[in-house]
Formats: sequence, C-alpha cells, structure tokens
Amino acid sequence: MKFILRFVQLCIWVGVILFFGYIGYKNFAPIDVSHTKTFDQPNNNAFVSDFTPGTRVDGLNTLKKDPVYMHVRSPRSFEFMYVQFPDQPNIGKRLRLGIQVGESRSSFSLHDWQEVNDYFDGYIIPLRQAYRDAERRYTLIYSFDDNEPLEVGDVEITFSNK
Amino acid sequence: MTGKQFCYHLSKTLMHAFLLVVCLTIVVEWFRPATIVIYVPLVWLLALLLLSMIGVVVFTKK
Repeated sequence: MKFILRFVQLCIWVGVILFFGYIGYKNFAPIDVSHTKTFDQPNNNAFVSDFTPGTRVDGLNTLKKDPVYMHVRSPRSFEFMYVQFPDQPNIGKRLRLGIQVGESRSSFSLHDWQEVNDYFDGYIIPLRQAYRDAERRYTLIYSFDDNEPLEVGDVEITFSNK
Repeated sequence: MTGKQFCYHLSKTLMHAFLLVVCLTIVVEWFRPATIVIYVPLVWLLALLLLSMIGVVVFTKK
C-alpha cells in the first residue's frame, strides 16, 4: 500500500514537472522567424504580407467595418499582435476582442467587452502560440457593438511556412 | 496503512502540487500574460486545489 502511495505521489510530481516543461518549451523555445504571415479575409480579398516586427499592415482596412491596423510589436520576437482602431467613430462603442484557436468558436477568447475611449490606442494580443504552431488556424474576432454579431468582421489569420 | 490514510496522503500531495502550480501560474502570468492560462484556465486550477483541500479535510485522522 505504501509503495503504491509513493508511486502515485511520484507520478503527480513528475506530471507537474512535465507540465511546466511543456509550457517552457512552448513559450521559450527559439522561434523560427522565417514564417510568412498570410491574412485571409472573409471577402476572399486575401493578401500576403511579409512585414517585419513593427511594420504596419494597412491591408485590413478593406473590411466592411472600421479599419483595423495590425503589426507585430515586439522587436525581438513575434510575441504580440497589436490591433489598433484609430478612427474616432469607435469612441463610446463597446469592443469585443478575442482570438479563436482552430475551428471551435468556444475556444479561448482573450478579452471581453471594453468601452473604447479617448485613451484607447490599440490592443495587444499575445500570439506566442500562433507563431509556434503554424499548422493551426487562428481567428481574430472583434465587434464594435453589442448588437453586431461576432461573425461580422472576422479576420482569418493563418501562418504558413514558405 | 488504511484506505483512509492512503486517501489523506494522496489528497495532501495533490494539494501541495496544485498549490505550487497555482502559485507559479500567478507569478508567470503576472510577468508574462497568457502564458499558462491558454492551456489551463486558472479557475480550473483553483477548483482542483479546492477539491484537494476538501479531500485533506475529509480524510484527516481523528
């Protein structure tokens, strides 16, 4: 009985170590910066951008909704995507912003409703996982008003090796 | 070792493990948001910690 207990306890601690090892591997392993970012838009007006960190991507303003500007913020690694809503008409509206992983709509959504105010100059979305997992599809979800369905204005973000 | 003692020791180990995971998660998330919670939400970890704590209390020797 005591041997079984010791074995189970050992398994628990090994599990904890493996869990943090996996997290560390996913988040701190070297990044292959040769990935090319491809933005597919719902209206099939897809374009490919080879932007470098800090470069602004203006192509997304062809969306039906207000312009959304994105650029990778971190100079050292592709860790964050910076989503900016520069237009004044958005002030006072409520913004929902999130990232969908894969095809499931119920997957992780980072941010919930927030009111856009004068001080709002953009939103930072961690994309560490995205740049390490090129095979999966990530969707940036946003909507500016409670009454607008989230489906409208979705931006499909795919990462592919070229 | 009785079954009750076995469950007590097991619950205690689980409680320590989840306590460590919760503390490390909070520390890591503080400095680097969305690092761990995108894999395991903090609410789940707290729930498991609570369950293990309840286990310790239930199986404590009288």
